[in-house]
Amino acid sequence: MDITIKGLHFSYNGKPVLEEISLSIQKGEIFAIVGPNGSGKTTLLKNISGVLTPDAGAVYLDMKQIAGLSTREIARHLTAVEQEREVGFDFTVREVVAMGRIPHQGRFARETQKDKQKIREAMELANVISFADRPIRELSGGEKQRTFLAMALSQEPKVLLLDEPTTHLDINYQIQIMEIVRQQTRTGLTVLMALHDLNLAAQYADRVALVHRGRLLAIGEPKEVLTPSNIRRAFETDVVVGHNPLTNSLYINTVPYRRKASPPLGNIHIICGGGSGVAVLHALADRFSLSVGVISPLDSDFQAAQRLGAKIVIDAPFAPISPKAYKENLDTMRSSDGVVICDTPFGPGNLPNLRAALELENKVNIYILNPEEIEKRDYTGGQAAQLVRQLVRSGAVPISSVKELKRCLAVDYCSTDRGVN
Amino acid sequence: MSRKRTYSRRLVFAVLLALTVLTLLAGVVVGPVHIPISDAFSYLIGRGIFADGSPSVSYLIISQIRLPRVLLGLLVGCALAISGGTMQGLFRNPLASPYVLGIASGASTGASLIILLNLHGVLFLSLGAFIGGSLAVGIVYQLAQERDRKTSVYTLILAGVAVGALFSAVTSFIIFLSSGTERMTDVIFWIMGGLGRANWTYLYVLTPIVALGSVILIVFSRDLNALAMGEEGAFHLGINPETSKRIMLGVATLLTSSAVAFAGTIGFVGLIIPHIMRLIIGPDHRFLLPTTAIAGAVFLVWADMVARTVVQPAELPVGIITAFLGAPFFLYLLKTKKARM
Amino acid sequence: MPKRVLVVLAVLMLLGLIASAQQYPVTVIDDRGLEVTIESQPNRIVVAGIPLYSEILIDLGALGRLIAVAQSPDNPPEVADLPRVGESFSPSVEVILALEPDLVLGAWGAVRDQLEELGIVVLTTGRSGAIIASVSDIFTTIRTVGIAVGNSARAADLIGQIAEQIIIIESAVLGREPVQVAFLYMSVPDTAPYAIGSGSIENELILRAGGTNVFADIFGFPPVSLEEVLARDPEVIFTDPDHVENVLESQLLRDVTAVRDGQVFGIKASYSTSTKVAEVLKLMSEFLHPEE
Repeated sequence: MDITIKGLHFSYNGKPVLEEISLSIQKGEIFAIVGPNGSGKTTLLKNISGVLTPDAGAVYLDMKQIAGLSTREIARHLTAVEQEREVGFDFTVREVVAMGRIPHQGRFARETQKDKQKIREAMELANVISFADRPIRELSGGEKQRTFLAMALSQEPKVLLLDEPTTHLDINYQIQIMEIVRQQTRTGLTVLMALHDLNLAAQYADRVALVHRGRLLAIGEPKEVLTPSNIRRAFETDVVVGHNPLTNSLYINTVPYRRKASPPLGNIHIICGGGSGVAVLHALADRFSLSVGVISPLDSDFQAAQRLGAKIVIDAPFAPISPKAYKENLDTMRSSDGVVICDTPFGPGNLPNLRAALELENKVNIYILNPEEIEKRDYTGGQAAQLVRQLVRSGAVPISSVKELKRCLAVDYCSTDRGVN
Repeated sequence: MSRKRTYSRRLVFAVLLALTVLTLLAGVVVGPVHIPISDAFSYLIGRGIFADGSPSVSYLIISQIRLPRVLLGLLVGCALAISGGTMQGLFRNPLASPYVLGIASGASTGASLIILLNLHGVLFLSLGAFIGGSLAVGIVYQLAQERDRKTSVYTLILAGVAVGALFSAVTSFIIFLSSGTERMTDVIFWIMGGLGRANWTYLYVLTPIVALGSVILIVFSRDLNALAMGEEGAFHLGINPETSKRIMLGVATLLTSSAVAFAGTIGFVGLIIPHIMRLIIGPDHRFLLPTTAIAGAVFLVWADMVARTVVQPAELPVGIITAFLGAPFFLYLLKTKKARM
Repeated sequence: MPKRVLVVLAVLMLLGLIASAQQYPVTVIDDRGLEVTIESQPNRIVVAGIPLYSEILIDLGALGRLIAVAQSPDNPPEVADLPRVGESFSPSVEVILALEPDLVLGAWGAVRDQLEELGIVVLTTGRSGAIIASVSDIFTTIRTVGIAVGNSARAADLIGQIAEQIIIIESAVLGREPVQVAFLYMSVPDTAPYAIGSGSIENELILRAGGTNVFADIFGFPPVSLEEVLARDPEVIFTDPDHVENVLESQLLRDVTAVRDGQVFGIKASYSTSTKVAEVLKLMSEFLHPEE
């Protein structure tokens, strides 16, 4: 069953809550509505299910306006599980799930064989059958949610609306519910859910609508809608959007809030690669302005550096460092206040970075992380180890941890003059 | 699980029906005047009129005093219990009783006003109580209506408390005005509730009301089940919460006001009996409401039997007995908390 | 000659019979202003109300026809052995019915309605609501009951006796300065008492006994504040015999003239609503004007 919404407007107490909402949802789709709290997600769901009546516009189920349908008729095709549901009396799980059959029964009807079957199937699908005789009020949050889902499923809806079905649930239960829902859509169920968890939406939804202050900001596939710029507009926060190869879906991470108030204590250049620089970059990003080099754009340190706004001296991957890059790197190091060499594995490709550090002739403070372990990271047949030992002999400071590095740098650079050896 | 449940449900029904018959017979046999049991039974089936058409005194006692009283007790007990169960379901609050919307207070005011004004006749009294009760509920309902003509159960309860208190104050004032006279005793006894005014005319009026009202409420028991999921939850199950609430509230109010009109404000029946039956038979209103109705009927008749024998030939107001039986049981329920509410 | 005597005797007896037979059926007016018809002389009488009715029956010589009474602490001793039909404020219809009475006296309210519906004759007098609020109400009751039981001559005598006694007592205190009186009930010490106001028989008796009811401006039986009692400062206080101590030892009332002078007397209110009302009046007048 399709859902079509045309020009929906809704206001509460004179204040507009939803404006100009139009969208259509295909049969068998999982459609997610995301947006910050107060953006109108729940209100939108309630307008679609018929609990609320829009001020303008209409909602159609398969071309039929729901405004013209009776409550019972709606319930035969569409049902919803709202965010918080409190059960008034000590009904057992089975009794609750059995209520889902009400729209299909007459007032005096007893439970038919078909009813019993649907109830049992729903309880099995939602994995609640093992405690079917327990009172629902004794269950945990996750068990209750699954029971309500079973109740909804026993109603044999063609459209299922879920409002924040995963709140208060542990990760395993969140996934469980999503998997059950996805499985049902394969047999034609249309699912519309409001989610605040963007990653779940990205992972499970076929299409997403982003709502902001009652208006539709974007509709489309998750990768089209869940972009950093959209999310910045809607949630007023910065995120990084990546692709998770394991799940083959987007992942969205928030970026830690940067204190922009204080001016940097100095410029630090970081020699890293292969992920060795991530910790150092994050540790120093607050207090120092950073530069990184030489690394390739495929390097994982590259992404971290980019996120943190560091200057990056790049060069092509899988090739020796070009003289141009080498010079740029050296110049950057010369104009910096300090150089940090991370516990990077060194091979022929990035060995020149070490050479460049030596060329500084200690005119700039050099800090080396775990220099005594260089043998383990040396893939240059001993050259890297030799260079490192030379650096230490000529005054580079050996550091054993990122914490110690931070402390050291704070001490050395807490005055306003640039650090001098 | 379901097999065992059906078995015990049938058993409960059977026991209750048997109890009702037993109660009817017992109520007719018990009384300050000694009438042999065999005679009592023969009167019930219509014998006892002498050859010249005049009834024997014992026959009169059975047919004009005890039988109407027992039947009134069955009707009033049924009405109060099923209304109480409905109110508890509608408000999803185990402390709800049929009087939660101020009916008792309003009816007391109406009845005491009639007594104060010395308007004679049982008709006036019943009418006054009925109008008073309905007026109170009407005011409560109006107060609790929100903008879109929906009524919040929360506001209903609060308004009921307030309006009830107001009418109680008026009743106290009326008692004050009538203090020192027999009328004060009359008012107070009326408020405590009693089946002493039973007669066949009452029964002709009350029986269709209670029968029809109970049937309607039982028909809507499915809606009560759905409403246990919350008003939104009920909506998604195809129930229109506003319509259902209105109908059930209206019918329950009618039942309660009618009961109070003829028997005064008898307490605890509408509060305790639904609880007890919920323990025995579970919260499914399709079975709870009918069994509660029968249990309430039986309970009230037995309470009345105690009321009219324990200090015979004087009669205690039956409200005292229901409170004596009901209150400790209520406390016991609260303490054990095994109550399957 | 003896035959003539026999004939004269027979005629006299017939006349007597006719005379008494002519009394019935009688119709009287009850407290509701409705007519109550008594078809024939009642021989199975039940008193289902206040003891006044029992007293009247005793004084009219109809005790033998009284078969049961309602329980009351003020019942005259002559009815001690009679079966009870419940309390005077809540008699049992069933028990009354079982006794097959031909006249029930004193029932009111729902009980009266039920009895009448069962075809039993109920007679209650007084003001509307079965209230005896004055001496003339007592007289009305005596007269009405007298007609109902076929002893109107003796009833008239009784009224005359009581009236005569009252007049004698009144003339003894006629012209004296009226004493300020309050008739109070204070069942719990030092709490606001109930006062008897106007429209009550006690009020009338106070007046006849040569006093003034300080609470005559209030109607009925209202609760009054202790301050009011202090403000109105009665010289004599009548109260229930059980409450005399409460009043005399009341801390808050100790400045009241009556309490200071120890002029607090117990009078059983039920005696006012009885055929012994003249005795109550005598007691009162002696308390109020002891010099006499």
